[in-house]
Amino acid sequence: MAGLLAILVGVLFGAGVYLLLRRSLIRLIFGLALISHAVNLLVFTTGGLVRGNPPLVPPEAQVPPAGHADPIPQALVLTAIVIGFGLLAFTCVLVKQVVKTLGTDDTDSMRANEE
Amino acid sequence: MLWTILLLFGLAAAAPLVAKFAKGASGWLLAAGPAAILFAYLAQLPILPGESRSEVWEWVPGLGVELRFVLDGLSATFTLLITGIGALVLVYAGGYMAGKAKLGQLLSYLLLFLGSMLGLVLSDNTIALFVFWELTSISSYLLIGLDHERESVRSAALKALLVTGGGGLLLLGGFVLLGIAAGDLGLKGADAFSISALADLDLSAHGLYPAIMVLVAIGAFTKSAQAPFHFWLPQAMAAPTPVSALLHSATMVKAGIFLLARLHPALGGTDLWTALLVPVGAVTMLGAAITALGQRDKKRILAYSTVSVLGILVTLLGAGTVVAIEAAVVLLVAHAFYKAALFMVAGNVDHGAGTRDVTLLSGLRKAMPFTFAAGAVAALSMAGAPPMFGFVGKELFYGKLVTAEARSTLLILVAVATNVALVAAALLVALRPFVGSSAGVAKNAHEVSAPMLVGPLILAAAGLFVGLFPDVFDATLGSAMATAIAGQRVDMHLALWHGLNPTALGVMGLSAATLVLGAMVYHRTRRLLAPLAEALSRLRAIGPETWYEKGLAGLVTGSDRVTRGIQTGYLRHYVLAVVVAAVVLAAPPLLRSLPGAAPLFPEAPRPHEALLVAVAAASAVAAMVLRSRTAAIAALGATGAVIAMLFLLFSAPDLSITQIMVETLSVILLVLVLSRLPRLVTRSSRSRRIADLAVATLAGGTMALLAIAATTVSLDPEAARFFAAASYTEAQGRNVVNVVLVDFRALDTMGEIFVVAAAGFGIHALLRLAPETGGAA
Amino acid sequence: MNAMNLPLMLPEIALVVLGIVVLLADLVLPKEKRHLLGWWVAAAFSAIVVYLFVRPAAGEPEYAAFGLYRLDGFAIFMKKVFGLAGVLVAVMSVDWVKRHGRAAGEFFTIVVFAMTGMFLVASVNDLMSMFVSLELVTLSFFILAAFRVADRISGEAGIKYIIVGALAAAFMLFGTAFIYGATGQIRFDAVRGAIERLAEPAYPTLLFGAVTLLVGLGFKVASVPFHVWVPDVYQGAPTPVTAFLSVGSKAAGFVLIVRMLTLVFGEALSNELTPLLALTAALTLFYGNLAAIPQTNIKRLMGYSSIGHAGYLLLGVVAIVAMQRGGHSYGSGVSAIIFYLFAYVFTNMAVFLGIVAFSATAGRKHAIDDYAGLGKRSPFLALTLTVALLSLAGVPPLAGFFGKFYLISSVVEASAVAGNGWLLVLAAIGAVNVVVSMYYYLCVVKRIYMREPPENASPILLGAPVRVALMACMALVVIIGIFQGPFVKMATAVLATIR
Repeated sequence: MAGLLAILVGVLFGAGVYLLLRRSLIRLIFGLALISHAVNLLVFTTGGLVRGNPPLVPPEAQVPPAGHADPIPQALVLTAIVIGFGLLAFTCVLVKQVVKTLGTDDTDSMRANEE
Repeated sequence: MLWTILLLFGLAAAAPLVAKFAKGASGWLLAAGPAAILFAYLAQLPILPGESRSEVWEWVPGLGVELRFVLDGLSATFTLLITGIGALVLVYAGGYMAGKAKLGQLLSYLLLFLGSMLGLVLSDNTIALFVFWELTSISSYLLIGLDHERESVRSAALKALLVTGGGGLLLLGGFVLLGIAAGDLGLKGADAFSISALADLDLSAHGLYPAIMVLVAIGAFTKSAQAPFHFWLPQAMAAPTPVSALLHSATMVKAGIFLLARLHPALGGTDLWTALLVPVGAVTMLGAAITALGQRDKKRILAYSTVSVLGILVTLLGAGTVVAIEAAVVLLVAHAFYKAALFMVAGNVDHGAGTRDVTLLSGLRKAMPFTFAAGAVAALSMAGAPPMFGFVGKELFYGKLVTAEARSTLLILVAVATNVALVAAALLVALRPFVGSSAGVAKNAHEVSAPMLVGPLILAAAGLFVGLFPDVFDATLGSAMATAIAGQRVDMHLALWHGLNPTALGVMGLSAATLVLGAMVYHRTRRLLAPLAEALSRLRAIGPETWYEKGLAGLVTGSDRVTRGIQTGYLRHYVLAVVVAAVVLAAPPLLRSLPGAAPLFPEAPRPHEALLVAVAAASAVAAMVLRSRTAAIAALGATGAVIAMLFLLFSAPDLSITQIMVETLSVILLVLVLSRLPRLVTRSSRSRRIADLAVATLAGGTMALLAIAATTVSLDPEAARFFAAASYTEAQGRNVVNVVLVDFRALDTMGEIFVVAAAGFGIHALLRLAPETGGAA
Repeated sequence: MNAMNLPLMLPEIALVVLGIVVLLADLVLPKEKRHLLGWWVAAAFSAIVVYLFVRPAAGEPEYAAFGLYRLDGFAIFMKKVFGLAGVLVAVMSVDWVKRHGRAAGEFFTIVVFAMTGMFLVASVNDLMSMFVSLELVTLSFFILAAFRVADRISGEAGIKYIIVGALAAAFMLFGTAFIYGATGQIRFDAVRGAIERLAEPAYPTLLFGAVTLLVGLGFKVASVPFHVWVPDVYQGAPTPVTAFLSVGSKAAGFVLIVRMLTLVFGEALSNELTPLLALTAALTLFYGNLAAIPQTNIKRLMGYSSIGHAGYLLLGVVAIVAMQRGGHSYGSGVSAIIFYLFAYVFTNMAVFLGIVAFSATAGRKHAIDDYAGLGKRSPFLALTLTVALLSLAGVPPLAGFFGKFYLISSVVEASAVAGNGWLLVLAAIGAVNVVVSMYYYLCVVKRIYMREPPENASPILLGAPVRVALMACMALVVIIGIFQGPFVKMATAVLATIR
């Protein structure tokens, strides 16, 4: 199963890269979102996959049941999801404002320094 | 000795103020500094052969760089020349630039230059020497560029700096290697950079010796204007006359000679040393002497003759025998006297008659008698006529060539030809303007003010005095200087008259022939000038100067082209660069991991899981290709939702919940923001899209392979065990992930909150700063 | 290690409080006085720096936040540098915000946030915390760079910065994931321990973890080919923000590279990373310095020059990695980087202070030609700019010269220690680039002193704070160069706390 998820990571990342190579600012945002999914999934997968045994301490027990999932990648992904969201939200608004200034969402017209 | 350098730097800082208040007298006032230093060092005389006095100050302890100053015959001679001529030049500058706004600047730069030069010759530490070396380059850049209204002056200044500064860096490279070699041979810490300690080592046997030698020689050649690096010097003639005098007489260009002399005991005496120095010196001395005759500007004639004399000095040091070193010592001192005097004379003529063109000048002897006198005496020394010090030097030079073990007829011919040309040049600058009809420019000419006469008169007289009593020089300083250069005891016995023996007669014959031939060439110069100048300009078109200019222009246009090619301004090119580079960097470890990779599917994936993965991939691809904004956003949301389900399946309920929430928020945000933006259109060409798809496939494929390799590593979940064990027992939490986040990884959680807060404030600011709306949006 | 140990994080806590205070003050203060918040920020940063100077020096490293936070001499030193640079940035921002900014409160809050992130960067001891604190810094800079969004060039800079930056951040997280995948650990010291007993199959994963992490850090320090954002962002971002980048991105990135190499990877990856980093250093040196030559805009020129300086600093990194092989002492590389960073940050600040002061009077003119005749319009500004530029060019005896000298010698030493002749070539490339860089810096100096000012050009007026700040920077540049003893001792003392 890990292999399948690894392939999904590749697909998400590839699709994200393709979108980042487009000229439309809107597609760039989509690209960022897909890449952030790819990263989260990879972090999650590297901890090893466990079915149906979350790292929870059952009542009356001191430690989680044996064979539970690794809590560390989960904690990392939680952090990454939130940070990714902050970045995405800011980028959205910046794109909106830049489009307003430029009158287009074509990144090829964003060459004020070269003109 | 440190105080003398600091005093000069201090005066340099004060000079603009002094010039503001003392005006015309500021040259005299400031000259008191170097004059005082001159007398302080004079009081140290005589310096005996082999004697050296040193002084040490800690500077860069980490690197073993210290300010170690040494006063021996070599540095003492230079010190006296620098401070003596420096003082006279300051006085002269005060008169030359009297009433001009830039006087303060000029005096300040001159003092800065003097201080750097003094530091250079006194330093015994290679790194400290290099620092002063570069300081002289910088201050001469400022001096040359003083008259910066003209473009030619600015480019000349830059050229001087790039050539000498660049050579200086090669020199530094040589010094670093020298330090390494010295370390190998047992010198530790600061001693590895101490020149006097180096002299005792057998460096020529070390593997780095050739590299050191080449780097040091190039450093010296650039500074001392040896072919093919000579071209910056005549260009630097644009500088005001006091600067030319300083640059040429005792100082800047002699720094290279000084360096070779200083390092001769440590690096000299090898075949490589001679093979590097003698040919370069010989080519330079003859080429420059002939070039001098093709010039009209007095200052340019003097400049080229200087290059020629420097070539002679390099040749002599390259030969490295005792006689050669004695000749070098005498020529160096004689040249300092007469060349400084002649540059000041040239300045006086320019000042008094309004031109420096030798074809226009004539008959100035009545209008400018003192200048004429000084010029005539100095020119005698330059021509090597008795009883001047220059004569003593030339005799020694010829003597060395005639008595050399491997006597080279070619070298003798070159030397004689050079000296013939120098005689003609001397007559051209010091005789031609003063004799003949006084009908032309001489009518309105006038003698210059006292400050501008003091220098040339004193210097010309000094040359005459040392020529008449050469034994005074060798007793107080000369022998010590030759000893310091030779690295063995040398007792010089200088004389005008060497008695009657075959060698002396042969040398005298050469001297006489040189003078006669020189006078004959001088009489033909009027006819020679035009064809010579023509030939020279043709030569210049293929010479090193043209290479320098083409190289510089090529550097600028070439780098412009490369930069435009890489830094296109297209964001997609930037993304492409980063992705491709990352893939390339990841490739080597990836290839290495492939052979050992475990089977991709140790267990068959369960159907519902495989289906979820397929849906996620399909919706990602949909988000990639869909042309409707809303549909693409929906596909994006679907991807996120499926990933949330995968999280749930694989024991991460918290993640799943967070992912769903964030995904929902994202979709809402995207819909809100993007609905106001233009519709999606396809802008790239089909071939562009295919190429991008290829790159994306490559990147995605690499990432997938890396991920597969990573997931096949079996982990020892040591850290995970710790958290699981501590979660309830220490933090009273039953959800381990939560405990990890709020307790053990609270720092991250805090950081994460700040990131989101920063994004929030950023969004707020962006909306407030919106282009049209102005206020809050 | 297993404790929260909050008192250790006092400077960071103070910064958090400061951020909140600035935000609240923004609500209370009348609009025309909000730019004065810059002085509050400057004062607070100064107080924190003073605290760092008077607090007892760290002997052994101390830990907080359950080992995620490490306070050692290096961390304290870098925090002092960050704090002082922050004071200078605040000083130059006040005027800028007054003239351009409507959102003064947000501007200074984000500056404080960025500083919080930088302080954390200096102290992190964990891969994920590293990512989070670096993201805090980077996101703050995204916002600051795009702060004049209504202005085309600033908005574009923001977009380009974010897209490339987000990609780099993704790579950092990939790297973190791979390293966790290879070692099962995430705290620096624990990763190091795991690497020492690493099984062979996990080695490639570790290696590409390290490489992808370095890609992410390469973006921060602007090493080729991850430098692509630099010219546009340097030119387009508000000038005080551009100045801030030299510490917030470059210095922070190098701090983390040094941390990674010394605390995490150690000897394990030396063989693979040495050629990789050496190639990067050479490319970065050549590209930054050659591309700077044809520039006509001073901010863009400084952008390329900053790439060149990343190249020099990478020389020190190469020296560290190369000397780690065989367990040799790599101290000279680290202390060279420390010395150079210190000198570079304040020299760069001086240049940007000058640019801000110039454009305050002369209008938003950033063409190098606009600086013609500055020597006449403001002798003081001309002198400070010249000294700073010469130091950047590596002219002795200024600080920049010794910085370059230490870096190049560390590579030479590494070549001898590791028996790697290619490193001598790299050292020579470093030296050649000093000559190349001299050309473009001198072209600016040439314009300052050797050209006439435009007709009816007014004298450039400097406010007292800017004047003091410029003087302090210049004094540092000259004093570090001439009186080396204390600074070398300082670098050595810092070095001792790193291992």
